[in-house]
Amino acid sequence: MPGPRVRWRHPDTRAAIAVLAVAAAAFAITFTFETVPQALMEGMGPERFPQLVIGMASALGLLLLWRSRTLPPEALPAIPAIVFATVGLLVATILVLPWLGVVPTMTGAMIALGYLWGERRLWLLAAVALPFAAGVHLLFVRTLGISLPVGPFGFILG
Amino acid sequence: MIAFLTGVQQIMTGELLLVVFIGTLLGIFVGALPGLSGSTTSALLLPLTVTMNPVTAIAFLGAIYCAANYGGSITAILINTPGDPSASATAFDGYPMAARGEAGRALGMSAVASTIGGIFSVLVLVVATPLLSRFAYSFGPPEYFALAVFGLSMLGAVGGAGALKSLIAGCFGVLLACVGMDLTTGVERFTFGLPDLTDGISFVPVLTGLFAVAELIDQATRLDEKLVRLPMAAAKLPTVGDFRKAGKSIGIGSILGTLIGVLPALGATTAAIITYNEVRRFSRYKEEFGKGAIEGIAGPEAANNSAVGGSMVPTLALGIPGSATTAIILAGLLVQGVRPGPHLFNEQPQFLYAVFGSMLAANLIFLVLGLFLAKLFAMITLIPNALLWPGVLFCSVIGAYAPNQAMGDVWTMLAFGVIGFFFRRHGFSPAPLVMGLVLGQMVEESLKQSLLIFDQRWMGFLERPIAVTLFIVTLTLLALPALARGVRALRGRAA
Repeated sequence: MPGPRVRWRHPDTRAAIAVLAVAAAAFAITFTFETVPQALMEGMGPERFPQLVIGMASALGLLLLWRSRTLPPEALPAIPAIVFATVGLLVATILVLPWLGVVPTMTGAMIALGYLWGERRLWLLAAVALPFAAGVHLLFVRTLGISLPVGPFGFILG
Repeated sequence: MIAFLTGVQQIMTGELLLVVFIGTLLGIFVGALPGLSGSTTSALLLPLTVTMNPVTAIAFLGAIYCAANYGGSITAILINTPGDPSASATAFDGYPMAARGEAGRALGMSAVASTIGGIFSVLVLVVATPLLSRFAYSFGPPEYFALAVFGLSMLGAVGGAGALKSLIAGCFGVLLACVGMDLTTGVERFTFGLPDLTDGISFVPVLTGLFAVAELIDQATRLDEKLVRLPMAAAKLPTVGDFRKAGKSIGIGSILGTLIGVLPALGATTAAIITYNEVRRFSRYKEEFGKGAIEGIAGPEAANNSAVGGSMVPTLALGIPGSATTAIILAGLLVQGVRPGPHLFNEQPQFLYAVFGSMLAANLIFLVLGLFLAKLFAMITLIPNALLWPGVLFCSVIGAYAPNQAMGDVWTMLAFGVIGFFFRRHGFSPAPLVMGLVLGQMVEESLKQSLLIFDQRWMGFLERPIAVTLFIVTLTLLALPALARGVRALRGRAA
């Protein structure tokens, strides 16, 4: 027979558990640091300070967990699908960027994000994105001398 | 004072004034845009300052910081949505004033009160920073450790679950500062074999991610919100009657804002909210508050701008940031290889002249721009999110990539954008994480050096009076909210 479903009492409970999990993982990682021979070591070892900080974070996480036990159950609003689509677009943009170059990728990303967020006038999105991209290129590449990935269309920009 | 003003006069060249003007204009512009705060803009433009010399960079960021606080009041008054969090208290009375057709009067008072508060705090900055810095000149590693711990503990001074979350975020910021090679032993920590992480996590992508990208993702959840902008005439200079009524509020705001700004971790938003409550408490027209009281605009606006100068005091004199934006400015200076602290006054006084000069100039410039161009700035609020935020995305990507020209930094930015989104969703603020990240190295180095001095005896700290005093203040401030709760509970039981 399936047991009763775990019911989260308050979002802080989840936050506290996440804090404790991250702290536990970080603490475990400190044991993988290279060990320094005792003869060469002066003062604290490289793992000691992070362990102190993790200990502090864990204590605070436990306090948050303890405080959250008396809070009334509360559900956070669901994350809308548009958020996942936006993050997906960001990931795709960064994946494409080194191959296509900054200016074409970011111009495309600006138009795509604007469209995704409900602006259906493509001419308007393009009218904003193209001068913006040209301005950024002029400022960073031409004026400040910062080199950005140019991609196969870099020759257009000179 | 005269020496400082002479120094300011010498350093404020035409070029630097132009940079300050651009910074002020940009500051008002972004301050007026809901979601784009002064700290977000400073984080976004940090890469741009890497190409400037350090003096120009700090003048530019200082101007943005000053002007963004004022810019935030424009949207607070016209659409009841503060463009910058520090203007949230301004909306309480600013919007009702605008609703009864007095938007121009509200904006005028906001510009004048902000300028008075800002100039007052710059004067305090000129006097207090050298004094504090002279006092701190004799500080050794134990005192610095105690000071950094005090700075971080102030994240918890607000009390409640928010305090716990801020302290947790601060701890994770310090932990992030541990990533990379340990300077005393040469051992790599939390690098996972990635060469990009050997030198530690770069500040710029973390800041861009936490402030700009996280806000962009958060904006995606609010696309359905419709903002109603009230009509306005041009901003009007306050009348003598307005000054008579609001003069005391401006005074209270200027003093409280500067004092609160000086305390590490408490910035302009806290200053404005506390001032609003105090101004209402001391007002003869309490019943007008919340319905469009001019004092309710004057006090918080003077406070949030005076907190700017106040928060620069510990940042410059001690290297301990007074707010989220000063943490970003400090990060910008660290990227340039400059660490503010007591020695800065003797070694590179031009920095201080640049800060004082740029902040004075920014306050005067935004007064003029605010009075004459408020109507134009108000139109910024009409830019739809679908056109504005793609531009922010573009700047974020370039900003993260440009300093090291590494794609790894762009991925770091995205990762911290997602982390920042979940942080906000669960009530964690990104600012403490940044404070921890900026102070982390100082905390670890000063602790290790102190223990070397004390021959690894932790009790050695008790032999240093200043450090002991700072530890006592830290513990008292941390315990204060719990003590206050206990006293309230006892009183409740007794009643």
